Amino acid sequence: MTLQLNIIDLILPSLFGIAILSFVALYFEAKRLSAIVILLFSFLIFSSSLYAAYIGTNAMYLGAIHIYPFSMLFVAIISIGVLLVGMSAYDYSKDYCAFASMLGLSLIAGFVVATSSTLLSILLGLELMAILASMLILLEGRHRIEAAVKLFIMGSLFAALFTFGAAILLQFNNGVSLNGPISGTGYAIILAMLLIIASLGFETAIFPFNLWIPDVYSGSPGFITAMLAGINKKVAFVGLILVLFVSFGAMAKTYSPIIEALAIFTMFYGNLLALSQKNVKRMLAYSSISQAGYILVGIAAASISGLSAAIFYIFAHSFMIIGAFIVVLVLESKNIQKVDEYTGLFQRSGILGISLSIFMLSMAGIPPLIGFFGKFLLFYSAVNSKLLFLAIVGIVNSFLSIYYYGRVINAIFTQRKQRHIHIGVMALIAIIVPLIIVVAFGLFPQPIINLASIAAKSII
Amino acid sequence: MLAIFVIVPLLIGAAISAILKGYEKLISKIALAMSLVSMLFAFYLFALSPGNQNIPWFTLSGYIVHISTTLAPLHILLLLIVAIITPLVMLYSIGYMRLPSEQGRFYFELSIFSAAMMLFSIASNLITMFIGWELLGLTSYLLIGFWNRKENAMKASLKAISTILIGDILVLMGIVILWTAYGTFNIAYIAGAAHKGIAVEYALIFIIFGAFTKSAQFPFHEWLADAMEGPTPVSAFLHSSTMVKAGVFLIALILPLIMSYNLGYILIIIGVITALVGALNALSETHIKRILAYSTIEDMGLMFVALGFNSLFAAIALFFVQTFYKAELFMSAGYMMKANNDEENINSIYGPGRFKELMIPTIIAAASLAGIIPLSGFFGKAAVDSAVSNVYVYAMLVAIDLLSAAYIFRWMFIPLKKNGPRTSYERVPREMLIPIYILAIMIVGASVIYFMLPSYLGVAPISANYIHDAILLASAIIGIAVAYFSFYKSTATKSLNIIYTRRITNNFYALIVTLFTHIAGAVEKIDSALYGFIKDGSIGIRYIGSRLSLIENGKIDYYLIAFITGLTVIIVVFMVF
Amino acid sequence: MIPIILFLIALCAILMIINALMKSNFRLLPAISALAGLLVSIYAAIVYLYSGSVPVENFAYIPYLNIPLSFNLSGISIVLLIMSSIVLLAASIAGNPEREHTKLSGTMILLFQIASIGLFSANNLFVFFIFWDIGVIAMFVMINVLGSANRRSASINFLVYEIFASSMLLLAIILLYTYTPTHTLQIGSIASLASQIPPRIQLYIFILFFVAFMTNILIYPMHFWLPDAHAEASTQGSMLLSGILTKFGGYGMFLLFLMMPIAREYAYIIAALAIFSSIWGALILIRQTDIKRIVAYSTIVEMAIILMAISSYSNIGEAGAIFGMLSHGLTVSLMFLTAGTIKYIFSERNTTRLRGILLSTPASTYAFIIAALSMIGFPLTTGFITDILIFIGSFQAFGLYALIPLIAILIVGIFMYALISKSFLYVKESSDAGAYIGKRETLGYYIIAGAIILIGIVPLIIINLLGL
Repeated sequence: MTLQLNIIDLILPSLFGIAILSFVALYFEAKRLSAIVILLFSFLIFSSSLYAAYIGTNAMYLGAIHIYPFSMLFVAIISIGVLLVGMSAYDYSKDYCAFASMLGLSLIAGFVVATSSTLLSILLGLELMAILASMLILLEGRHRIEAAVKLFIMGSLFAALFTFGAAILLQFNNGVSLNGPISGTGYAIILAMLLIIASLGFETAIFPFNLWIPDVYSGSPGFITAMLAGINKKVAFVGLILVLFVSFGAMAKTYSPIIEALAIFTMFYGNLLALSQKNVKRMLAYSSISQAGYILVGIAAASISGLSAAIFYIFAHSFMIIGAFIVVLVLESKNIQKVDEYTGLFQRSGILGISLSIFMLSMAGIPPLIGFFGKFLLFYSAVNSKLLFLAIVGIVNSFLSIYYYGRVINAIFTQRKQRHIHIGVMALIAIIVPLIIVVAFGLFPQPIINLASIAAKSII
Repeated sequence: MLAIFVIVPLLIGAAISAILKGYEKLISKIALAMSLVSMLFAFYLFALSPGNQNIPWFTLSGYIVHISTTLAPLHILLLLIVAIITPLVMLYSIGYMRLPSEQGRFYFELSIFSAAMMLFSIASNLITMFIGWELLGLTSYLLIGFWNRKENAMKASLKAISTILIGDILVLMGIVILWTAYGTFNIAYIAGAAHKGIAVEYALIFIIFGAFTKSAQFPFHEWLADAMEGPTPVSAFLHSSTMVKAGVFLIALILPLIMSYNLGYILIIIGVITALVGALNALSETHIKRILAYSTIEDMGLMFVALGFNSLFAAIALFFVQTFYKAELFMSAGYMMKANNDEENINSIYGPGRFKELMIPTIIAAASLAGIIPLSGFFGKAAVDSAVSNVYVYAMLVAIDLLSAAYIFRWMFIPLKKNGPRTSYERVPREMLIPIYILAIMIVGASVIYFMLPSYLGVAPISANYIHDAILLASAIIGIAVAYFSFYKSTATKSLNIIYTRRITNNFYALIVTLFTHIAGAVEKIDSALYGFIKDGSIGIRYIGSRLSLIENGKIDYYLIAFITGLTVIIVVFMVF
Repeated sequence: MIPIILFLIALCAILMIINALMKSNFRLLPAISALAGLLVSIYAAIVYLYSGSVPVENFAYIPYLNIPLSFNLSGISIVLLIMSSIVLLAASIAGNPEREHTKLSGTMILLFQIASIGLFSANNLFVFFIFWDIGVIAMFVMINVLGSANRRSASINFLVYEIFASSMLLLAIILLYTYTPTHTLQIGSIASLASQIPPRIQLYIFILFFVAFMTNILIYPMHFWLPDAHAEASTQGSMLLSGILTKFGGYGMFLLFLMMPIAREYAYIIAALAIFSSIWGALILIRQTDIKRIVAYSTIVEMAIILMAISSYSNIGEAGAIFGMLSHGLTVSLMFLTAGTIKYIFSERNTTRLRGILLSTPASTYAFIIAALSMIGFPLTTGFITDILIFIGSFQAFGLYALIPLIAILIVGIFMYALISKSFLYVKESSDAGAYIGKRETLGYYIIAGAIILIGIVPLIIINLLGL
């Protein structure tokens, strides 16, 4: 018992530390201090929460913060995401101090969602994240106002729908608290479920609620895109998983077909549109949509294996996409955006070329990279839950995706002598860390699979 | 002592020829010496006559495939023929091949060729035989195309190998079926085996046609005529003693099985047609070596006819005697060409002043071919004539005998008649004359051996049929007379164009090639259309994607509408249905 | 007992990393590791022949899914390993006459070697699949980096087809894993458990596997990627692509017929498809004028014949199929090596314009002739043993129809002889070489041609490994 408290004692002060110290740094315009604060504390949170997830702590703190493997694993994922994004932005952000403080707040928001014990705190955290994201986009340049506004409007729509859904649930036993499955039947509860799925579909990039994604992703600087795709989206998935597996845990038969249908559309939508993109960032945006579809496959399976597969894939995807967007960010700063402009990247910078190729191959599901194991687990869980068609669609999509990834890799390895590209140290580390994770846990996925299944078991 | 070692000296000779560079004069001597060693070894084997020998090679589901050799009479007969002819050809080549730069390649290929033929002749199972068979094909391809700066030679070699390859594949098919049917590759066993279903019949037909390609039977005969583009020693070797006889030999070995399946008629029909085509073409041809080539084609046809009438002895008799006179004739032809600065058209070749030392052996050989009595050729032809039991076929054979006497003396008389200018006379090397004389002696000596053959082979001799013999002799004399009056006495006619099928056959081959090319063209079109279709499909998918991206027009109200619509749709779908 | 396969893979991986990280390029590393592979496989062969089996190597990999990292060297694996080591050795020594991108290509060859070692010795389908995709990616990069003008579209084509295959494979593996009663992917145990899978699912699995492997071994109508990929790939790329990568599919097909009893019911259809494919490939071949495309189409013909042999379900036929893979791997890589060297010397691949190769490079000519002979099934080369085994085995199963592919061999053979006559032997005018080949290329010829002839003359060891 003491041990658990110790962990919480470590995490909460760190969160406060981030919140306060980053504003202090903002006030003094101390860029380095901001960086140290965000990196140090997010690393602290990451390591302690990972440890907590590993030993299987389960406790309620302050009556609202639910510490258990699932939440801790996600806190770990979010915090390492924050760490990486924070590092990558160091050389590229216009106002790093402001960015760092917002990022720190995002981490807090993510923490709130992951450890939430009621639907309301999910709403709170997600809405906070959405607003922070739009502010971040605004911060980084004038012409990004449009993207920020879009995000803001969609965010408010999310809040409205989610609140409506939660309000409907209020009448039922266990309604908005995440203590166990809602006991109750009838149309109202299904309506609430659909509303909440749709509202969460906004951030998790489920078709047709995701149309804003490409605009916003490609309209923001790379590190913010990395944050949106690598952190915000994952947090929204936490919400979705919590709602579906806890609140609607008894209604798997109802939500499974919904999620299945949404997954199919989302995968096809993302992949088909990615096929015809010329801008790499936009292409990655679409591909991240289709990746959301894959995660939905695991959720649709509505089983422990499905959930752990989904968690595994969320873990995998956050590193792949953050890494890929950081590479894009570096290249963007050299005004390299289109697929054709990527020609000869390997010669210009070996590490960028190799790492982007590996991230993309991992996203395409090529073994022995982490993305492959994720897909294997996802499709296996789908087949295991008798969703053969879903698995087939998933594999077809994974096949479609190789075309556009292949085109980029093709360009990367085509020879063309050009000037060498210089990368900042921070960004380099932020690329290498996900690269190591993607390769190492691709070769030995067992630890992550264990964590994911512990997390999954703790929620069901 | 393993019988297979008989080929080792030749292989050593080949290896030395390949390795030794800069000692061109030595190469030919070494190759000759090695072939003599092989010959001595062959005689030693003949005297010793060890039985079957098996060297395990690999296993086939429990069955051990051997490299096995035998020295049964028939096998050793062929071995001796090859062993004797090889040194003679080598000796002849020393004179004939004088370009120093090509000695190494030539003797390499020739030695391998000879080794392959020896291996073929002593093989006692189909696999070993097939090794020799294939090696023969390859080396003959290389030898025919030896002058690799002559386009005609390259075309001829290609034609040869294409035809031979058809035979190789057919024989391979036959071997596969025979093994499956009888569970063995042993030729003697298969030859004496019982009926085993229709598949074996197919196998035999495949093997017969495979043999036809090797032995240049109609319609596969044209490659042999073209093969004359090769160096003359090669022609002498290919056509007299060895390669073309491989087909006859193979059929002779499995003759009992063929007879038990009653497939002799194929041999007879094709044999007669081939003999006729060969004889007629020889009469019209003007290329000095090609006349002899057609003559060889005719001889092979006659052998198949004899086999078709189940007369092993007659076939082997002709097989044996034909070797010597044909080798001699080819060597004479080469000598004449050399004496006329490599002229190949008989109408432009001048004699006899240029090669009077050649007259006696050449006349002996020609007379032997025509069928004049005490010479060995007569006995061979007489044996075939007597073996024939069908009167129509016999009539054809008589006509062919007459024609062959006519064309071979035409071949002699036309150059003889012109006693050309003594200028531009090229001295012909002595080495070329020695084998010619040796062969002439052998032609006479073979008559004696002919009478020893039956007891040696252990087959019944053909009872002498004096009427047949008289008819053969008469037709030979008539043929010579015709040739004498129309080509030596008269000045008008220079050729006797009865039928000349060379162009027709070549057109026929060209037609087949064109046919295949067109089919292949159509297939290629279909294939690329299909590929295009698949490519279009993939482009189509991308097109769908680019159409879909029109939804993404950047307007927030559209997104909101999409959001609401989507929500409505899922609500309707999942709540109402 | 040292786990030799894992050891070998680790060695290759270490060498690959060294090769990738080293600043100066030390070109011998791939050759060293290929030589190590050859030695290890010969050692394994000796162990196998003496004791009847090589110890299975099992390591815990993903306990969650009950998937071990399991390697098992059967005689068949050893044969394929020997073949791939020889090809890799020759490719890394001789396959790059241009001496371009040696570092990247060396790294990719090492990666590809890892793939081939792992795949041929995999005892678990999951492991098999992992190495399959590694091989595909290594090959994709190789085509892309070192090929000629149109390599970008060719490599994408290749990738799309191969990933299509691997997607099918993945789905099949997932189905197999889900529906096998004990949730196992061990190749050995699937064979006994497969009959307990519902028949319908069995059929799905079989079709998926079949389509995947068919794409890889180039059976009509999935053969489209190969000619383009070959025409554009570098010499090394083509050698490995045709020599080894197509054998992935062949080996997979072999395993499929071993594992799934349902395959027996469809053997006739598969054989018919294979026969058709061989004739089809041969007919397209004779329309080609690009020397690399010619060799590429010959691969289609040969692999179709191997598929027919696999589907024959007879001891001899299946041993013939493996022997055929050995033979074809060596033959075709020798042909590509020759073609690549010729292209380097003459800067020309069009056979209508290539003349008198004999004069410029006799070694290439002889190497090409040896390869062509082996392809035709000439005795004393590996091709002959292959033909005997394959056609006897298939004849036992399919009767006279099994002999139809010999017509394809005939067509290919005549075409090859025509090519040799016209382009190699026929010397029209004194053709001068732009560059002459070095000792490394000649050494490459010696290695593969030596292997073809040596194994052709002494096939007993290989045959014993195949248990015939």
